[in-house]
Amino acid sequence: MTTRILGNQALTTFDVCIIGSGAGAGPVAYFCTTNGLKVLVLEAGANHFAFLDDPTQQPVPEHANDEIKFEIRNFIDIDSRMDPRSWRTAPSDGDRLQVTDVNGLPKHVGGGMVHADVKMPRLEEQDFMMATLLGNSVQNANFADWPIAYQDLEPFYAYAEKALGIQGKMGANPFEAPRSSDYPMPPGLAMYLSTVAAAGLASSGYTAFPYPTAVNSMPYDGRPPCNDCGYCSDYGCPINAKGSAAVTFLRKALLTGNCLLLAETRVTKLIMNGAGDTVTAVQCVDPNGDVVQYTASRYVLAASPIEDARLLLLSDINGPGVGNSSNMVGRNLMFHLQTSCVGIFNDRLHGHRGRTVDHGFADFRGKAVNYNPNDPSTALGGIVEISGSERPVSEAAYYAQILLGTQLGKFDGTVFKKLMRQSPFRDRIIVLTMQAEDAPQATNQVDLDPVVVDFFGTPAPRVTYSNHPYELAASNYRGPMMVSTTDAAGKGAIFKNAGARWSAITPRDAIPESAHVMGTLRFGNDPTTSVCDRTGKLHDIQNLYCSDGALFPTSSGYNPTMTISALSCWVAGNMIFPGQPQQVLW
Amino acid sequence: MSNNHRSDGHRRLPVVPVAGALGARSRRDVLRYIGGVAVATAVPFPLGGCTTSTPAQTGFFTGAELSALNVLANAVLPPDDTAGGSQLAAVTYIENLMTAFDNVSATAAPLIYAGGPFSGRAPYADDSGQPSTNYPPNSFTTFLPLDIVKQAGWRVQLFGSSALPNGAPNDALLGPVVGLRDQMKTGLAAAIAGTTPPLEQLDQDDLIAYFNTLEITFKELIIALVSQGCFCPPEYGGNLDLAGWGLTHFEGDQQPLGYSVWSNDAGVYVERPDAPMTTPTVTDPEPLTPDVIALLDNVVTLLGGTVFQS
Repeated sequence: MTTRILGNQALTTFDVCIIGSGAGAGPVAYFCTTNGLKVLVLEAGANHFAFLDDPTQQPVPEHANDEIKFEIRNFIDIDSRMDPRSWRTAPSDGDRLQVTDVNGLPKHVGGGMVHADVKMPRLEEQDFMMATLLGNSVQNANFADWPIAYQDLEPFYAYAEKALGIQGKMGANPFEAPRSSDYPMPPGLAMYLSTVAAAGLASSGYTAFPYPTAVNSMPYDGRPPCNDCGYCSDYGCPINAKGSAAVTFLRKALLTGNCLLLAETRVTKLIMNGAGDTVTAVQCVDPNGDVVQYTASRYVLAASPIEDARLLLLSDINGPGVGNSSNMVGRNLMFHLQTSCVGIFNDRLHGHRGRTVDHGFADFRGKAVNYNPNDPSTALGGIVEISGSERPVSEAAYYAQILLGTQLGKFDGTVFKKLMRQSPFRDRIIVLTMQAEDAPQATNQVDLDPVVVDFFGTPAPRVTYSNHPYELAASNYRGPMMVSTTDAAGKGAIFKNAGARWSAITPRDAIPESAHVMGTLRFGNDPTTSVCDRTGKLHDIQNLYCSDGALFPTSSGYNPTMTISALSCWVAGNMIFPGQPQQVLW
Repeated sequence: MSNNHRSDGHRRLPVVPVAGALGARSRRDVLRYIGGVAVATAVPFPLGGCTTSTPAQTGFFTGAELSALNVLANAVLPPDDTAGGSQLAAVTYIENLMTAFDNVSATAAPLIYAGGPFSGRAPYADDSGQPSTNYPPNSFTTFLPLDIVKQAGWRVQLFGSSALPNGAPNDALLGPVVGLRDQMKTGLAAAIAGTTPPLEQLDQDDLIAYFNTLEITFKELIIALVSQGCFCPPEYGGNLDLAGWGLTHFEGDQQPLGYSVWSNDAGVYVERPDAPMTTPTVTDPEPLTPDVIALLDNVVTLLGGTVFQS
């Protein structure tokens, strides 16, 4: 039986209040509590872990190999009617084009990290200085250097990798940044389809490598090894083999006795002092719908970029927003433009047996040079993920789309059943997906919808977003390369008897679907162009920090969660040991 | 039914231009938090405690509606040498969803989210990495309580905007939500009234032809719900005898065994001969047939892809 209140219920006064409980929150909670600070964690969503705060036993998740629960009925995802977001491409669209979920990362204890198959590569060194490397070559974009270098963050990467339990192979990615230590665990077994794809890639001159993931490949830190059940991405792990923030940093914080976590407690406003430079309390809606307030000495935003920005705007609803003297709150919202191609093979590849993604390649990321719009090869791409299948209900939904969409609305049950039995789009596919770098644009932003509200009547976040020609160029250039690369896999020695049918997915200037959400409170040294300083503290506010992906000034072409975790360690270090953040690691 | 727009990027299939049908979800309970200062009550909502599962109510559908639904289930997934939608109990799945809140009480959760972590269908591994004879209990049968937001969402999904005292949050902008229960009743009435001879007497060709004349939203809803009923974990009421998973050659939920089994004795992974992960499938139980290959070629071409022949 899960509970809404976790940790030390005797705590009534707090040094630090953290809003959110995911990848950006866990490390701050851990380091603050282990350094003696009293921490209150407020999580808007439910808790799906029994015994998460029990030192005598391992947590028991409510997660399961259940496609209806996770894929169809959205167990951990937000309800788009009760928790809506609106979307438009530009103000010229009017107030909004749609009201839907728009990148609704799950709201529950452990945050978005619980749902993911936790792919955790680090960024490259170049990713921290894109403005310097690109100069002014990308028009109408807002590239900025990070206020810290890769070398500043490296020890925090290394610490977080050990704490979360990352499997990987040092040196396998030819483009990886220098590392001070190897991965804590070796790669697990490779899915058959990864082996197939990797061989094809090698024949094209590219290097597939084991994807760094927060998934145990051996017993680690009291948690069991992954058994490759296949229900990985979009699913919580039933055995805690995934090193989510919940079962690692957060659990250890709860076990210190210095932490209280309240689930189903939604922060709706920061209460400010008269000068507007200090947070004095947070206002919340509790599990019963009652409005309550909590106080602490310092506050940390870690609710994900869209919700972080929304809260700052809600907290000064008739003004520019809390911490917004720069007019940059909510701006430079970034996702990763995903470009995919799908190959259907004659052979069954049983991609449902495995960890969703266990290999990738980074040859398409490229090196930052002055961008030439007439030379799309100068636009940076990103890491490419190799994956496989859906489960049968999702597979069935896809066949229904095919039949209804390609036969003028006619559905033939006999053909539908034949497809389900032969399973071309589940048991016989390889999918390649590139995570291309979004160019930051000040016009891509989160603000408050003037009309749309959530279940509690709180104004909903409005996402204004459209793609920049920069990332579209990378997608259009790399997409056909992905297809031809995988054609080599399909027709090469590996598949002498296998025909491959590839289709490229054209990037759409539509509701961005990536779960990689970055920016909105970018950090930097100049308070006129950034919201937070290099320590994660808001320039304008004395006691308010941000510790999640909202800090990213640029989006790179690698999955962001490892860097969010490292940044959260960095922010905690700066909060506890100002000027000497590494001390927190010792 | 899922209306989620989030993607990690992998497993993205080409978008086929066709409208989706549904969208939704919903917990609750009573508690006061230590340290919180109550300043106002924000949300009136009919609450009740709930902790364990309960059998579904029957009786939402009339006999005539049940009969028609079973015919439609077979229109979506016809019986052949394997079970069809009716025999797989897709209709029981649908009725369980329609009546998910019927037996909610202080001790009974709505039949929305089955529990976890294990169903008891797969065993624990032993220390050598082999399946043991020790099976966990089935926790899927204990349905989970919903938080206040999820509960509101699911009530609106099933009953429409009238499920909440002031309607769904943005009805003034988006219009009132018509609940799934009403959608089903209305659609079934039209489906029953629209054919002579009655649905039950149509042969398969006529049934498919008639099915395709049904209103598109209702047709999509039936396809979606029947598919869910045929291939769901059986605790939701469908996939009788696991025959749905069987016909699509899918092993179903595999925890706590999995496909790569850790041997504590050897400190290495051991694979299962019956379901290899790292090596090819030795015998394809149902290879692609020429007509399916032709269909795939057409689909790939229509989607702007390329067909490569070996």
